[in-house]
Amino acid sequence: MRSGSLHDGPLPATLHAPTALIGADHGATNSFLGIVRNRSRAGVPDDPYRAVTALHYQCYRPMAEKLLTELIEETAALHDPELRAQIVHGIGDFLPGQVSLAIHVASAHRAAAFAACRHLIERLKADLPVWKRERYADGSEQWLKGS
Amino acid sequence: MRVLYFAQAQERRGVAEERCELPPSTSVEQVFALLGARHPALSELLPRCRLAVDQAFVSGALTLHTDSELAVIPPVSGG
Repeated sequence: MRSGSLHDGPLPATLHAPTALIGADHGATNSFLGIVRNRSRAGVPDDPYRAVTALHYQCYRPMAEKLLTELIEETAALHDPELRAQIVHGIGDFLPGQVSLAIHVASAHRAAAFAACRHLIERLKADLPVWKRERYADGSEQWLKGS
Repeated sequence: MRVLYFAQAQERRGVAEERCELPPSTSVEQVFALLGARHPALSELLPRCRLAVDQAFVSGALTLHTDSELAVIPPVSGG
């Protein structure tokens, strides 16, 4: 199984685990979950860890969907031709504590599973056309300037 | 051709997309220079943006068609 997709809203618990990738020929899975934090890194000098009350993710949908597929193929070529991978990125409105991203991989052995998962999250952070807009306790909002 | 704007670029430009006439034989630098000149609110942000044409990042020289879909991609923040 190789699948990269976008999901409207927070990811349900069924997507938090690599259940769909489990199989007898793949001895190791590795997962990364992205969770909406209640503190911003885009603080101001007198409030360096500004409290976040809500988050909105915008995406360039056709490009994001295409890129997720390409990133999985790139990762398989680098780390394991038999790689199984499932990536789901949430889009829309979120509250702190909700899961916004799930990356699951399965390989025959652990080294490739760890490496593939790490590669996917780093490439996704660099290139996936998705943007987060933070809302703060005082009602103000801003787009983050990259992560 | 169509130009799409996202996140800070959309906020600064005030629209999510627009129709735009650009030279068919051009470059990323030239496209950004033209957009920045037409929309001064964008000019400060554009040096930090990337350009996508038909859902793929591009760099350097470009060939555009009347139905090309350009997208101004500010620094991404997914995950």
